[in-house]
Amino acid sequence: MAATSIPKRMSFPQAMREARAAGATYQGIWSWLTTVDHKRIGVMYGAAAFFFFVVGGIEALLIRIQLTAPEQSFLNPDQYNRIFTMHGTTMVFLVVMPMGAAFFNLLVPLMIGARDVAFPRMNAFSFWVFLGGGILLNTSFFTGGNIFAGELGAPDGGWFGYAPLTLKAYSGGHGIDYWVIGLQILGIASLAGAFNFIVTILNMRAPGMTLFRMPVFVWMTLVTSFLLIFAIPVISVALFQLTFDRAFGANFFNVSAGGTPLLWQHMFWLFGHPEVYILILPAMGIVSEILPVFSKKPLFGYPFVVFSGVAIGFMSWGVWAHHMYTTGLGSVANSAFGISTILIAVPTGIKIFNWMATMFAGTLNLKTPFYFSVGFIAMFTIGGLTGVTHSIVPSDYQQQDTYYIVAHFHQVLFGGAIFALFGGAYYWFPKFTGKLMNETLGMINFWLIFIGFNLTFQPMMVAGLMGMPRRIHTYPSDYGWEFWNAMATVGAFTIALGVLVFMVNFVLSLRKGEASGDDPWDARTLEWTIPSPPPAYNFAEIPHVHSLDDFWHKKYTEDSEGRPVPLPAGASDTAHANGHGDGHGIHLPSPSIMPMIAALGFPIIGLGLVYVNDTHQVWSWLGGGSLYLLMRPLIAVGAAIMVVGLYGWAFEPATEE
Amino acid sequence: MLAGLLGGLAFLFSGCSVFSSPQNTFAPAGEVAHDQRWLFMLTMWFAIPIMLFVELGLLVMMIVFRKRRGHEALPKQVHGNNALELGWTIAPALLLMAFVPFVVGGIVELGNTPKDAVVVEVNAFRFGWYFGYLAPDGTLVEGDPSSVSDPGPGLYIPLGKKVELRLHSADVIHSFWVPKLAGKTDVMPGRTNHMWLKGDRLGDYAGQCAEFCGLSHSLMRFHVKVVTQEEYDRYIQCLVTGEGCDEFSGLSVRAAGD
Repeated sequence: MAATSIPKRMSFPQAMREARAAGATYQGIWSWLTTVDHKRIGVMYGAAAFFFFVVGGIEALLIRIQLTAPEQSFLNPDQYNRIFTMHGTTMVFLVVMPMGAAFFNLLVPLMIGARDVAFPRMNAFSFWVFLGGGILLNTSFFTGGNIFAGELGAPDGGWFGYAPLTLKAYSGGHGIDYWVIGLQILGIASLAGAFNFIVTILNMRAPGMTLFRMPVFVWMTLVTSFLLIFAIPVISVALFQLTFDRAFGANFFNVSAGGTPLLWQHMFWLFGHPEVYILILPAMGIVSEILPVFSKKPLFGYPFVVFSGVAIGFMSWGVWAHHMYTTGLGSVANSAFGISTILIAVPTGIKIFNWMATMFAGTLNLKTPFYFSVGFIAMFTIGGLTGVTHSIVPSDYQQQDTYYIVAHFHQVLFGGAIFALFGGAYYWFPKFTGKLMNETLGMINFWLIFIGFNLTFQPMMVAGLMGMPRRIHTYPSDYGWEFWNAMATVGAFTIALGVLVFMVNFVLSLRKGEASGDDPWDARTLEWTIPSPPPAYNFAEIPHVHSLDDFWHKKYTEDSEGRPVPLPAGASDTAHANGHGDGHGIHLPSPSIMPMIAALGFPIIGLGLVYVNDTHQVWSWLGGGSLYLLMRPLIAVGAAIMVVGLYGWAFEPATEE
Repeated sequence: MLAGLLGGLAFLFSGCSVFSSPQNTFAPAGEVAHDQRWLFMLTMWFAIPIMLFVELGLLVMMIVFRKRRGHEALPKQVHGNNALELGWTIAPALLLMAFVPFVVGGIVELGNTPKDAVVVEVNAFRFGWYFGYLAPDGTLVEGDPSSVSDPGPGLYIPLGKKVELRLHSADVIHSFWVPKLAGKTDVMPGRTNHMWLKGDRLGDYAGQCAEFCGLSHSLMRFHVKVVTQEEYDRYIQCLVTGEGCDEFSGLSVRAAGD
């Protein structure tokens, strides 16, 4: 049939309708480009973030190879500076943040009993903007000349980008411009996502799901989203200032013209410290979901865990200057921020004790997600306690900017966030694929990463206390640091091996994993009431929620001693009715290419802004050919594309008739 | 047991060869670094027991409460315990508050420059240092700058005297750090930061820039030489008159690595 039909020219609206119809079939590349389904956007967020995780991981390995022994020249100082800048930037903005977004997207609507997020197309827009920003940022690597001769063009100012080092006078080239514009674009993606999740959580919960019946993960999503919408504008302003200094000769940070370098630090860390909690709160949410399920007990002290998360959110705004103790803020400011930093340990401690109490006297099902969650508590505790040592300001003058700090924040962000994200991947994999991940490989994966992690970062703590500063590309042979650095390099490759095992496990399980059924872990939250993988519409019938851990209470009742007694199957009619309908008559938002078109405008505008003052060579390769272009008009081209996307978006029907 | 552990830790850091470094913060040679180590160890008294409690607690629970074969009974459903939870909210808060006097006291002590201190001007630039001293007649005399390949004459300070450092940067942010003598203070362009330190043992102490400042940040090393008052005076005399410098010239060509 298809072979005989002669293709006719379609009108544009007709073509768009056909494209949306193709998208709605859930097959082929087109359906991914146009999807507005939160689950698919979550998968894309996760895949992109994992890709960047591999990129950032390779950068970490390059750093470790260089530092394995003293006086090495595997990387030259210029390459080293660019690579550690990109390692930090990538891991924060392109890995842990979007991994959080991936889990929000995959889980929040399912956990609150909704069919999608509040603004599905804005959700797609958020992802495409993120992807464009991330690619733009990494493109900078290729702009430093001949990349095959090791001439890198990536930013070289550190992930914190301290002015005045990031001004044109000290960092020529375009690396910092890519960094500034890239982060600006990523901020837009984060804001779009954050607003979306706040509205989704506040407005789209299933009947009966009051705020205090929400899973902790949803609570942490809410807190994280609020942190994002207040924190991102702060760094956006700082980045605008830096852009104006670099591109148009403004003097916000230019000392010789009366500018103040400390202004940048205040702005950056006023964003940067809430950012730390933006990275860790989703992880805390994941762990708070996994521990009760694998302990067969409810979360100990749900209100305390929730309120301590909210308290962390508020307090995170009052500790930013603990990144700046040595800048000469004065005794009053240092004391105030020292005390506030001491205090933020309290809500964090509450969570740790509550998680331990959840495990206490439970029936612990020692599976991979549980191992990663316990590993999270074990490592995060060390990160938290070393954090307390930073609040002891006078002794922190010794530790500031040393490898002790590097060890501390990896303890929190890798031992914390990344461990929880691995745990979450193992835990929810069956929900989205219908298959279990392999346990044996899971255990190998966990132990490689756990041992590798400790081999990498605990020696760094020692090296830091022995006086090794951060961000140095080499060190003398008689400073006593080589043993610890060699150990850290061995650890880093062990971690890499662990990540490799994860990838193997993921692919193998996807292809021929054991069938999981709808509820393989005997879980407590709503996402496990629907089929695995969930249908496009999630819930055939919107559930009615009667309590916290509603699904558990539909499976078990408690006897007089508080022990759970399984309810006979079918006793609760809603337990298995959810999601097993045929889905007829459910209106889902139509797929749309418009969010992607609108998002495409940003990196193009960004490229124009990076080269706004350039009329000469912008690209060269293989030491030979070069590309000469006037880049400024790209701003107009990008803006035009964005307008087309937004126009189409506004006038396209949200659902098909 | 804890005391033993901490003592052992401190011993290891100062004694054992893999734990020895010219920049070891655990082998202080001056009052400031000494107090800073003391405060760090004080924090460890609090941090290490909590760490052991959590790590061992997790390990024991993983063993004791693990699901056993044939053991299908479900555990009692405990939803929380307000008294217990308030306890582990308030107790750590009070415990942590005990650190406040030490923190504030230390900040004030290090923040207030002693009045009778010897004044030294520290100048940082990309990528080196030079140091200025007050000559007996009140004029400023400066030593040669260091560079990436030449450690320069270093900073001379008299033994047992409090020395006020006035920190100036010619370009970007640097940080002045001599781990065995004192924690760091950033050297900011456009403003003068102050810090003080005191050398309690004669010797040559390694330091390096601790704030990322660009290409050769890693090589921005320098030395602080704690010398007797007489030798210090002779060095100033050398800077003022250019005479009697022979005894100091040999030092400037020593490798940065020792």
